[in-house]
Amino acid sequence: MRAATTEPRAVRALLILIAIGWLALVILLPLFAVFVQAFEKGTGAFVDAILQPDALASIRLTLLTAAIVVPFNCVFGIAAAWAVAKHDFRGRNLLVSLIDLPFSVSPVVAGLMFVLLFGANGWFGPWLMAHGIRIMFAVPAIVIATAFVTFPYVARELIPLMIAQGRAEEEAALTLGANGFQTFWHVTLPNIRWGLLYGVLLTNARAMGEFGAVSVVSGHIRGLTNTMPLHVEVLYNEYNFVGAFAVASLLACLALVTLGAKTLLEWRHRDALAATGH
Amino acid sequence: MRRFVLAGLAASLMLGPIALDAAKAAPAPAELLNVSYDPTRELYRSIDDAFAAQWKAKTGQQVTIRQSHGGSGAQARSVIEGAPADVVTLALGYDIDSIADKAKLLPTNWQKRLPHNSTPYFSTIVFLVRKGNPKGIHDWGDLIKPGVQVITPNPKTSGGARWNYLAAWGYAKKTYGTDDKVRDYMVKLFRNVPVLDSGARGATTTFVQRGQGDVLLAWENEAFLAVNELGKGKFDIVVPSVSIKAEPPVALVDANVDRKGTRKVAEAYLQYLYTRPAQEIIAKNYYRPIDPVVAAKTAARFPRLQLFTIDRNFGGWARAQAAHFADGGSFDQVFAAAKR
Amino acid sequence: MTITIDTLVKTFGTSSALNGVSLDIADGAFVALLGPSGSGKTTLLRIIAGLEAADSGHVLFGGEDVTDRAVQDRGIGFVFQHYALFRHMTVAQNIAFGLTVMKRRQRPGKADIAARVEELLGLVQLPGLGERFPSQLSGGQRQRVALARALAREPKILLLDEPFGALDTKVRRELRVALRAIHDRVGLTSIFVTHDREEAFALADKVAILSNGRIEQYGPPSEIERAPASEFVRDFVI
Repeated sequence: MRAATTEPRAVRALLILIAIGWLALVILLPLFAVFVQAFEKGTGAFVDAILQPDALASIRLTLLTAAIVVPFNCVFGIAAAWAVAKHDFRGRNLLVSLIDLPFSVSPVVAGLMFVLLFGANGWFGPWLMAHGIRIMFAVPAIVIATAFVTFPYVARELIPLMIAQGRAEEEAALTLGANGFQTFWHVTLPNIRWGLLYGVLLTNARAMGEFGAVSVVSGHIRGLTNTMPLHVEVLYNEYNFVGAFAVASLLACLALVTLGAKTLLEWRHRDALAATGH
Repeated sequence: MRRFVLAGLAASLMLGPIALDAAKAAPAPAELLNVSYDPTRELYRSIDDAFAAQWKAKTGQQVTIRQSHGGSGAQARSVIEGAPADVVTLALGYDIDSIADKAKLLPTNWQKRLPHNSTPYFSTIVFLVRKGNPKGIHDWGDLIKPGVQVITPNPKTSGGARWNYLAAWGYAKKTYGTDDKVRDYMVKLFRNVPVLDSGARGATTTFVQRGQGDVLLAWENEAFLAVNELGKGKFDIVVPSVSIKAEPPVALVDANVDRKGTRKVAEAYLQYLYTRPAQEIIAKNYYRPIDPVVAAKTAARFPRLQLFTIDRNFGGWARAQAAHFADGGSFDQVFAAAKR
Repeated sequence: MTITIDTLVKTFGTSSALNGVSLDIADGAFVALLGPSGSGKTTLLRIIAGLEAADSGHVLFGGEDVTDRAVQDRGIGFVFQHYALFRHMTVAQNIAFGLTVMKRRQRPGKADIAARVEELLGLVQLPGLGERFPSQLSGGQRQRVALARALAREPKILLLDEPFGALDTKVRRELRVALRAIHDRVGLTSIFVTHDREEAFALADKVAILSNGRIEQYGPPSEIERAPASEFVRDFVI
């Protein structure tokens, strides 16, 4: 018997072909080109390019930024989603809109906002300067700008999930004697973990890849405030194509690693995954 | 917002120990930040190494020079906003003037503090064309021929582009005389400009890497770099009959060096630019040296052409900026007319 | 344990859910809160449980005022209409939850917890299903698990919110009998919410009929059938 939604075999094959072809054209081919360029002058040149002190510094800075921003936005995202999804309070809709704000603000504008706040002529600039606190054109500004643009990912991922799950399980936990933290830890968190993981991965990918906002606040000081994406641009502009694409391919690898980690986790926990219906 | 500040503090705490470790060695190493314009990347990489070696030999102090590059106007902007530059080495005096005026980080008479108007080298604007010069471009007049695509960056953000613009203007003034005819020439020129990159480096990349356009208006050093390093045998340099003497100045940012305690080494760094070894590096990177001996020795590298100057022909940067690049200035008018 | 409800008032925004409800429930009683939707019966149950706070009035368990006591400390068991089982835990983990979150000093040992889970699974007639996940169970089985889970900490009071509402008729009947048997065996004081007259009358010792946030009548089913206290009760029960 044929199901009503089954297309003829030829149509199906064509659709799959189109999907894979398009994927190859817009995703795999450019990625492939990056790696080809990176290894154009051989593995030695690739390794040399990565081991340049400025390149290493940019890798360190990018990892440091992600290491600060991701946990931070993770905690914030869970708190915000929890507040929005499980509670009714005045200003709830406003909070939802605010969470979305970084999505609708262009990264360049986001960067300029922090210039207005922390720049030498900004609101807090003179005070910070007088107290010897360096935020602008230094690591703190990069962290702040990255935190801003990656702000919504975790919360956005969790809010619909938490709303769909309702409050019943949490209430059940309370009636069974669990305190607030136990309820969160044993009931809320396991229920949202896949959404949370996805949000964290998105946050991480964006934190490492962010260019616009970071570019505005970084000051582009080689070896000091250039993150990997900024360093790629610097190297490209210096006609150092092997270097530029070596760092770019490393950035792509970091993305692939996070993707791999997600797939691995999903595979290892597929039983629990099936049970919770995600 | 407090969250942000805390994140910043956390970051500084994490970085703190690195700075402390470094401080233990004696004499304490110094770090300078040179905020520069786009095409000087290769130049300052050589100069920084040479200066660090010389300084170490002379004083025993380790000095690291950090570089930041970008469009000259944008770089000035970031120093005004607080980028901790010890020295600025920008494409034109006006950009350093605005740091002095708007942020008061250095005195307005900064240009008097170092020899040659604080300009340790100069350069000019030449044409870069495709090999064999297929469009037959020999002088400024050829740029407005129909079907010629001219690549030049945006004068609003790029120092080099402002030199390009004024060089073209100067040629037209000399050739056609009246302001109306000059404007006419400029409009025709910008009709032939398909894209405006934000910096000189971006424009070079557009021309060299993406293969756009028939002629690139470029810093002389940038043109030589393209011919000798990037595409051997792919490009020719065309020297026009007349061009502008482009004078990229350097200056100490007093407020920053005093705050960081780096005045001595920063001053030495700028003075080093005038020494013979530095001048030789400068010439090697196709910037024109001001030291007469080095200039004589390297004269063969640089084509001779008639150069007019910003001070003599345009009344200095303040006036040139107001007349041409301020909002509603001649560039805005020309650009609007060209797009019509 | 006796339950005393003393003039509870609750409003949501502008609409009032409870207009001064008072009720005395004897130790060991099985009471049904019966009424149409919007009558305030679920709100009343949730206030008794501590999941909702009343605007004014008091709740007393065994003569002790528990109005300001948190839901965790009231020592009640609660069964939700849609079971509210923890999806990511096995049946055994679900049932053990109330015991595993106890303070370390009071918490039974692992073996004791396992034994208690087995005992409860036997009580709700689901022996051997401890390793399944809730998604692998039928609706009736899930509600039995929810019941076992609610009883794990040996509450004196069991509160049930439309416990059979999501089940088909045959399963409802079976479960009803099982619930009544467990109530009698464990010695609970139970309150359950329903909108089904037949169910309330078949199961409960006493029925409280609610309408518009008021108790219209409270008494044994036979008495309500014999002498309805108002037009509303007459219409609703007959």
